Formats: sequence, C-alpha cells, structure tokens
Amino acid sequence: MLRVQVRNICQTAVRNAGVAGKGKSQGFSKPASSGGKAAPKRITSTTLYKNWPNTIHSSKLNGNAVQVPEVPFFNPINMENNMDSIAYFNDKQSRALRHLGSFKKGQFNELFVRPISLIRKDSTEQLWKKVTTTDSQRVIITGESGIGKTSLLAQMHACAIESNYIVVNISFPNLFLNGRNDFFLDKKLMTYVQPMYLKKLIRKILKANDESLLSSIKLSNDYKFLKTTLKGKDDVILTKGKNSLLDLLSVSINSNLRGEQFNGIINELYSQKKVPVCFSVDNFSSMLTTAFSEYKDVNNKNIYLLELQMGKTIMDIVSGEQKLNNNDSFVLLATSGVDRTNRTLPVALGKIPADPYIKRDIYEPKFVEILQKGKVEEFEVPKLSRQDAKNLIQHYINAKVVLSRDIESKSLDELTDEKYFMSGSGNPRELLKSIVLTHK
Amino acid sequence: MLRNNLARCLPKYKSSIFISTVMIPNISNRLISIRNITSETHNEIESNNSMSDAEVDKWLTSIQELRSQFKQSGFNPEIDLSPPGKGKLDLIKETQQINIKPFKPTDTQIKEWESLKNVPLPKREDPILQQITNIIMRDGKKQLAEKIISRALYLVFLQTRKDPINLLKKSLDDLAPLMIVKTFNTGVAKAAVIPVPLTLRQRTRIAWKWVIDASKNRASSDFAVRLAEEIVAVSNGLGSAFDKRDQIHKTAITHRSYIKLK
Repeated sequence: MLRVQVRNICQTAVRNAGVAGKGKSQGFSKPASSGGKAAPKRITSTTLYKNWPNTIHSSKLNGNAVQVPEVPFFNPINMENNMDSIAYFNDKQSRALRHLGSFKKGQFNELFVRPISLIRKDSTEQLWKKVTTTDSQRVIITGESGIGKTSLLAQMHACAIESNYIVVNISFPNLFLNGRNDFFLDKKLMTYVQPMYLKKLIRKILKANDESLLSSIKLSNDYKFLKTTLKGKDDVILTKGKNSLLDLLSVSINSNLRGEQFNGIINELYSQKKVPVCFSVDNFSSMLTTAFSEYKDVNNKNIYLLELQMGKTIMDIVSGEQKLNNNDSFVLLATSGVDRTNRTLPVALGKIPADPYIKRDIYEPKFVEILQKGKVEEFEVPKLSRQDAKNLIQHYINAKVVLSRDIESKSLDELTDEKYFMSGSGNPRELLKSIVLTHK
Repeated sequence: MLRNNLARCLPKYKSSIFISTVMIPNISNRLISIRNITSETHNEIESNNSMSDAEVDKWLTSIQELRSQFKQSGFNPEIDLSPPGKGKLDLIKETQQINIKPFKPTDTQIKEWESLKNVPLPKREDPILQQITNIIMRDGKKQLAEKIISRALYLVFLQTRKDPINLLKKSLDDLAPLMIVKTFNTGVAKAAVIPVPLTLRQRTRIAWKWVIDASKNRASSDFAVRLAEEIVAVSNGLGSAFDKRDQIHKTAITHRSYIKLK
C-alpha cells in the first residue's frame, strides 16, 4: 500500500519537475537547433548562405550590372580631363588595387560593372599635391564616416602606381591585432612575428607592384636563410648588389624566418634612393585606439602594439625612425569610421590639449609622441558639393540603379535636391544609401 | 541716500518708465507731471546724468502714493491700467492688438502658390511596402523592419537588375489568391461554405505570409537574404506557395454554386 503511494508521489514529482515546453518563437532569427534535428539545408552553387554584407560583397553580383557607355579611365598624370567627373580605374590600376586591398566591402561596388571613382579637385588633386610636396612626407586622411577616405586612398594608390611608385598597403590592421593569426616571439629580433600574416602581405607587395620596378632595386645587404625549405635541407643565400628586391620578396622560406625576411624587405625599400615608395595604412585609427592587441604573452598579458613586429614597423615608418631616403616617398594614413574613437589622434594633431591624468585606453601618450615626431599632417576629406552629387546621381541613373518611382516623378534637379538633403549635405555613402537602400 | 540712488537709477530706466506711463494711464494720472518733467529735462539728464531735487521729490511722493494705494486695494491690472474714461480693460484683447502683424504675401509668393496649387502632394510612403514592413515588425521596431525590407529589396535588385519594388508588387499580386472560402453557420445541420472575394490588403497579407513561411527553409542566417531569395523565386514563379494558391482557387471553384448574387 505504502509502496504504491510512494510510487505515485514519485511519478507526479517527476512529471512536475519536467522542463516547461517552449512556446512558439516570435522573431525571425533562426533558432539554434532546439529540439529535434532539422533537415539539412541543401546548398547549391547559387545558394546565398552568408549574411547580408558578405552576400552582396562576395556573390559576384556585378556580373549582370548595366554597362554605362563613355565613362573615361582615370589618368593620374593629367587629371584635368577627369576633374569633377566619374572615372573607372584602368586595367593596370584595377589589378594593382585589387591586390592591395584598396576596394572594400560596404562600398557598394557590386552595383556597377567595375568600381567607380569621383575625381575631385578639392580632394584628389589637393591630396596628391600635398602628399608629393609636403616636407614631413606624412599625411593622415580624416573625415566623417562614409565621406570617402578609403576611396580617396584608392585614388592615391592609382596615382602612385601610374607615377612608378612602389606601393605597400596595410589595408586592415585588425588582421594583425585581433589575435586570429599565428604568432611567436622571435628571439633574434625580440619582437612578436606573425608569419601567416606576413606571407600574405609579402605576396600583396609582390603582386601589386611592377616586377621590373622591383627587380631594379639591388640589395644592399647579404641575406642568408639557412635550411629553410620544407624538408629543411636547402639554404637561400641572396648576395648584395647581385640579387634584387624581387628575389627577396619571392623567396619561399619557412615561417620561423619570415620576420627576418620582412625586416629585410622594409630596410631595402627605404634604404634605396632610386624608386619612391608609397606606404599606406587604412583603418589606422584601429591601431591608435587599441594600444594592446588581443594577443597574449606568456604571462597572459595583452601584447603591446609596439612589441608586435607589424606594429613596430608601421610606427617606425610613421615616426621617422625608419628614414625615407627617397624625397618623393610618402606615408599615407587613413582613419576609419567603423573604429572606436579616442583622444590620441586629436591630441597628436593639436586639436585638443593633452590630459596626462586620463586613462591609457582613451589617450595613449606614446602614440601621440610618435605622430608628433613624424610631423603627421591632417587632410580632411571635404563633403560633396551639390554639383558633385548631381554628377553622381546622373551616373546612377545611367547605370539604372535608381528606383523607377524616383525617375518617373522627379526631374534630375528635384532628385538632386532631395537626395542631397538626405545625404546630410554631401556624404557619398549616405547619398547612395538614400537611393538604393531606402524602400519605404 | 535713497535720493541719490533714485537720481542715479532713473535716467537709466527713463525709456521704460516712459513706455509704462503710456500703458498705465490711471497710474499715470499721478505720474504725468513727472513724465513731463523727464521729457522736458531729457537733454539735461542725458548731459548731466542727474536730476534736480524737486524732480526727485516729485518722483518719491508719487511712488509713495502709489504704494499706499496698492496696499489698500491691491494691484489689479485690469482696473489700474485702464485709461481714465474706461472702467475696465480687456488685457487679452489689448495684447492681441499689439501683437497682430497683418500678413501680406509678396507677388512672388502669390505666383508660387498659384503654380503649386494644383500639384498633388507626393505620398510619403508606399502602402503595400508599409503593410509588409508592419507584418515583419516585431516589438514595434519599425526601423529594423525597414532595414530588413530595404536590404532584401537591394539584394533582389542586384540579382534581377529590375526595379525591386515593382517586381515585389507584381510577384505578390501573382501569388496572392483572389478568393477564399469561408464557412458560415446556417442554423441547420449543414454549414454553408461560400467563396468570398478578397481585398488588395487581404491578398497582400496572405501572399506575404506565404513568402515569409517559405523563407524559413532558406540557408542564410540573415533574414534579409532569405527573404530576398524567396522574393526572387516567387518572381520566377517557383515555390510551394503557388500550389497553396491553386488549392484555394480549386476549393473556391467547387463551391461556386453557393455564391449568392443579389
């Protein structure tokens, strides 16, 4: 009798203790495989499986874009014909820019057959003039989010390539700051080296620049990389005066020696006087605002930026520790709107006074010192004028990306007035967004 | 002491006193003499920046008189401020009269108005887009819903290179059922199953619900991408939703004899 009762109690207790069933979910976000196995999704070659920004960037959607006739190519040597109009980059420039990583996602390049660029007197020409004539040889591009800093940087790369510069571009410093690459402490150099990142960067430099230009630079030092092939047998020996920079860039060596190889490349690039070098860093603000990278040392402390080989190299070039021997060489930095902002850059540019009692997270005195030592000058990207906006909108209409309701009901001037207002008086990204990404 | 102070202050505030004496005729019965004095001695005040003793005495006595009057009866602006002949003053009316500036449009303004009189105001938003945005909206987050719709339509445009809004409207119109059967209780044993026509809003809603349902089977984790894929599929006439529509139409046709035509 008692046994039966106990058993009943047990059963009800178990029943009551069960987890309450979940109600039907309300949102549209995908549930994380709750209860039962969902049938696997069939993914074919045409399936779009990424998230939106990556989908539009990487699905080769500009394959069926409308070709706009009579768009000129950008000619950096003689900019007058391109002035205040839209231009394509020619094949040579495009190839180099793609290798350099000058085109980025979120630039709406998928709308057009090939990336377009608005050549402007007060930004393109001005900056090129500033960069080639300035004494300090170091310029930082600033401006609000979406104003076209990266686009301007791409134009500068094109100019540099056409003017026979060697171009080195660090397109996204987060790649060597966010702790996703392999790294080790190089005992010889006493810095943290990231071999896989360096491998990609060296390949970029090799592919983006003209081979004849690279091979014209003869090495000024001997380089010995011993037992460095995969099997650990062969030695790579490059001799001074005989081998060129091209050889140094294209040697395939083991990852433990790649830090030395990169150091050698940077030294050779800047010690020679023959060829001018354009060194640029996009998203430089991410370096300025994250003084401590995501990498951890043996004491589980975050590694300081200047202890990383990449960070140290960049900052040496910015501060002038690494001399630019060619007078035409320049360093071009660009901030980014996606990054965190802090007081380091405004203090370095002398816009606000320094506050020594503030946290290092908000104000990093060492970086200020570096920037001021290099006498970095600011170049603020101006907003579009109404005429610029009109030219752009005319191109968008020609490329058939404007909604038909806008074209049918409004004249070009009315549309320009409306969209120029919507763009916050001349922010190019907001202008394009208000045209192609506002469906109400 | 007071005298000196007054002498120092008065010239500074002379203009304000002057205005108030205009506005306060009853009080100004007493002050009129002072006003006369001040206006007479205007130049003198400007130059010397001082008053004669007699003037200051007059000011003081009249201030004392006013003070005693207000102590007895209190300050009532409607009575105290009224002009000598009138008993009471309508303050609201008076202030309105002061503030009224008659608006006269210029010729250019009239011309502009004439030219724009017959131009219809453009609609701020598209009713169908509004409806589908509201359907996918959760927790009143309309901007998020708009962002999803915009992103989906942008992707639709990239894939098809046609105007995405027109494409969406056309495909929703193709997908949506025209009729639906409704069951009515007749009171006798058999319920009446009668096909009824749907309005545009009802049709859009049903079609859009089917699109959302079908988009759940897409691979992407981003709702905008899933929706875009589904819209493109529907615009190409693909998808299980078309079978649903045909089924509904079939039932409606089988029950066509129950349609009551008055």
